[in-house]
Amino acid sequence: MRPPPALTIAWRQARDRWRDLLFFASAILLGAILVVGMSAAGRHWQRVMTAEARALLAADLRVSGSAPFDDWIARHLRRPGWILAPTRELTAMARAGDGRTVLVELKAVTSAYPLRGRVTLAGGATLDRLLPSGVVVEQVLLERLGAAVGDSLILGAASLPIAGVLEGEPDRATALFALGPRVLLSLEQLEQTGLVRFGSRVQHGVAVRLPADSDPAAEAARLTAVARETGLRVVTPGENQPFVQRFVRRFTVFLGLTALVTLLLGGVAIAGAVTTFLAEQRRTVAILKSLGASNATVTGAMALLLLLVALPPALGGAALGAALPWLLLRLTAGILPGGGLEYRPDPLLVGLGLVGTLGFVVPFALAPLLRLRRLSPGLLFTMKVAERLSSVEGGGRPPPSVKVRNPDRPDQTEPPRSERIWLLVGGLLALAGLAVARAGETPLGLGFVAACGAALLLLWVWGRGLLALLGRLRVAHPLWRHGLRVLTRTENDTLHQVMALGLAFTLMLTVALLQQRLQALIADSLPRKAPGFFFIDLQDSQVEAFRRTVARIAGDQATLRITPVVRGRLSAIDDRPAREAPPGEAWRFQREYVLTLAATPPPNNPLTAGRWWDPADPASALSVEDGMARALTLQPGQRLTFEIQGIPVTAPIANLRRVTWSDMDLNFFVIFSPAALAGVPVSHLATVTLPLDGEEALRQAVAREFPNVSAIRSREVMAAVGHLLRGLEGVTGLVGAGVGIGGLLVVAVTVAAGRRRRWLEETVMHLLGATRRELLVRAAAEWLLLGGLVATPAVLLAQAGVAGVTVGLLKEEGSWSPGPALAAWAGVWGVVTIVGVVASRLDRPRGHWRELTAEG
Amino acid sequence: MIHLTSLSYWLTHDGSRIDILRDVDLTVSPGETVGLTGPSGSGKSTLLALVAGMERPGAGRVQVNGHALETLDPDALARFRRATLGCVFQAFHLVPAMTALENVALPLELAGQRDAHSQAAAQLTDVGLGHRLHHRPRELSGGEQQRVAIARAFVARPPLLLADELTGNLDPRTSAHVVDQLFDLVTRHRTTLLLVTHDPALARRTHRRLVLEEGRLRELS
Repeated sequence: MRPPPALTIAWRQARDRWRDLLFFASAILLGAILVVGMSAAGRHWQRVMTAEARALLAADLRVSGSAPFDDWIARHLRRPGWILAPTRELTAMARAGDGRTVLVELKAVTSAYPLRGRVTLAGGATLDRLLPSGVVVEQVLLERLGAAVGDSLILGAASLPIAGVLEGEPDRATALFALGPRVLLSLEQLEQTGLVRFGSRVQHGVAVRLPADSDPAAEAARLTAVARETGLRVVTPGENQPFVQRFVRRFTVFLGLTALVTLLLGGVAIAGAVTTFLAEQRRTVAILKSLGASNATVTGAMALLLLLVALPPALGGAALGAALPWLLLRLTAGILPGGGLEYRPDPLLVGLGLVGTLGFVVPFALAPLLRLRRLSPGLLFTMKVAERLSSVEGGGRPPPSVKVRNPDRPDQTEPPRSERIWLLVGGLLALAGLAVARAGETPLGLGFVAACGAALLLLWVWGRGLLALLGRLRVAHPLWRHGLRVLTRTENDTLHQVMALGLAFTLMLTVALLQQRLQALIADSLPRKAPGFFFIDLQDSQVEAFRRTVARIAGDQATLRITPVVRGRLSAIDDRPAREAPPGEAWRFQREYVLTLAATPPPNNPLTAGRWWDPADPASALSVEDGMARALTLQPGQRLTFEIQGIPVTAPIANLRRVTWSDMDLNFFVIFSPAALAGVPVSHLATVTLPLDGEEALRQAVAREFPNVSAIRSREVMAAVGHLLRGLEGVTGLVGAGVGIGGLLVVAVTVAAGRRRRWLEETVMHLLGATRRELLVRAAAEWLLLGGLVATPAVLLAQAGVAGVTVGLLKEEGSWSPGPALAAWAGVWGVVTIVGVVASRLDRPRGHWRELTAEG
Repeated sequence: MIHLTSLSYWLTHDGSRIDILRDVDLTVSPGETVGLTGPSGSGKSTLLALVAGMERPGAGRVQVNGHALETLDPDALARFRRATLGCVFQAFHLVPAMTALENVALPLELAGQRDAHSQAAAQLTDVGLGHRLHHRPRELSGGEQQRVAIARAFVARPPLLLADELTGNLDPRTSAHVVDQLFDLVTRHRTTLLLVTHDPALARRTHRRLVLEEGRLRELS
């Protein structure tokens, strides 16, 4: 069977012109690698970060309550694929054989614990091997009791052997204010102690590990809704570490945004390559039409040619893109977090990326294909030698000011206005759909498309206005004048270059500046001078002695802060008692708060409502963290009652404060005025910041001299949080680099689009006697002017973009400094000029007439 | 074969009208050969483009081989060109990606003919290029390229041949050879020829000579 003419023509073009098609194919290949690879890498690291955040909770989600809720678990949590790990937590006195006692925090677990992250035990032992033979305790407890592994620990009615030393538990970061050293034991062992009985203050919990394909946020929302009735609390990863949660959210937004930016940059590059490629086919199309080829044959041949050329690199690029995260993971092993997760390509994501890549070919190919449909073969009659060359490089269109008069029979290659509008609207809708699908969040996708549309409109207005202005400019120097004329000639398509390069640099700068801002936020959030220790239960009478001990051991290298604390439960808001609280907020009444008193506001706790009290004012007042105030709809003026050591203490809310939980310093939900807690016995909480090598000596000295005081090392907590944040920082850098590559691809495609036109002009000038230096000056003039045209709007638009994302999406305060903006401006200008001039020198004319008349 | 009635064509540039053809009337009979001369920019090539249905007139009528071209849609125009026309251009306009054989076979392939390649090979042999069947245009000399173009124009045996400055890019000796081959084919196949040229000697080889000046057509005696 004879193949249809369209296929024959397409095949012959592809067969013979493959060298000309290499650039187009390369653009598709790189575009597909970027679109698929960045998206797959982003998705993988999102999984990794989520896993790291889950490790801080040791689960995907956790449900807790102050009473057993087995029936509720059976109804709502027993599901196929769900793994449950029940826990019981309570405080108790631990006693050694010699009678010494220490208050400890018991945590009873099953062998399933932890569902995420891992428990670290001395000597590399594992929890499931040690627990059946005894309990696992922190080193500090052994020292305080003078005990060792193998000795017995008396807990309630049970005497249990100490089986191992606990060095780290994944969810310790969620329980900074521990009351004593940790003891891990099994649920059966807890039963033997007899400590769990009616009225015991036991925190009942169940950790949940969800199947891989389930959505933890959706499950948490569903469970929260049903937990309201019973006063249970559903905790999701990061919820106990609000700043970790915030950073994971920022990171997710950043990844979504960069996926869109890469998609668009890849798309712009592909679009540029498609347009240039099809423009180069104009002469062939005219010849085919002169021989009687129908529009269907011609457009069919060109569409098939595009497919023949685009499909192999698109498939190859998608495959390489799918392998990109694997390669990056190996290159960054040990530098970036892996979360213990193996990368597995997601066929759906790869397929979507492939569709996205080809999806960009189609809308951007439609307009040039429509132009080819309307291309008159009559141009062959007027196309002489020089015009023939310019037609090959995509020029040869009549200047727009020359138009065929007859309005009924327009012979222009431009489609009619209505067709163009439908094409534009259809293209925008398709892009919006693609963007929404890729962003994963409809508002982000739509916002991105709208912002890009607005940026393009502004770039169009800017380019058009400035080119008109430059066209009127009179320059004396002939080479500079020529450079200026090259830019302002309408057939040279400078406006489109300004728009393509402007959008590419706007997106690149937005991502770079955003990445810088995000990394600055992360750096600010990393607790650089976090306390090495928290010491709890320091009594009033021990404060001075404690100060002396710290001074003796650590000298002036230590920073000591001692804060009075009391523990209490919220019992009423105004006259509304706790039992009338909405079920969803019941836990806020059931939990124990660590409260403090202060005459002056804590540093870094800006007031968001109300005023701080006068230290001399004898009236009672309290200050509430604004997040807690929002949850309980509290306002200054309302009265809170706390039950402290069995006595109700009521005070009006004087102000609300914003707390930066990330500083890992002592932060409190509620602070009382000194007058409010006058006469209430307080204990003290001390933080000590000191060099690493002094920590152990101090811990031992405190354990020896203040046996009732518990020391909690915060270094592990810092390490876990710091690891997560540094991982986020590293991944944002890598993602930003990917966007940079996408942007450079657009620059290369845009420069290449005018390559032959520039080559022809330079060849003619060379033949007319221009020296190489003069040609260099002329090229520099053209690219310097174009760089200036692109840099200014790109920097301004990027600043607006960064401000929009920072304030609108990340909910952070915007910040602007002239330094990075000026550096970006100079950088864009420099890149455009250098790339343009270098590209023009690489393909410089050799001055042979033969080349001018050669077949294109 | 060709009937042009009150044919006008113009462009507008910066709001002012540039007339290319003004009220041109012309009738060419089947088998007749017509030479069209005139200074550069006088509208000769535009006239050919209008006769070929490759441009639309501003005013007037173009009737070729019984087809009123202004009434035809683009697909009908394509079918008209396929069945009626052969074109030879000054710049040859061979498809660079295709061999000489493929270029010549193209009109037949577009017309759906099965033995396109054997007919094309015979036609190329007829113009003395039987040994160049599988060469690309860039591997051929200017004269050879123009002979391939002539072979392509004749291969489907069109009743009308339009030739635009077919020797414009060739040296005198090659020109004479190419022109001889063209007139030989025109005579053998009784093809109507409308030939645009600057060369008075070439124009004299046609039955009728016309001159186009400032958009107006005049017959030379």
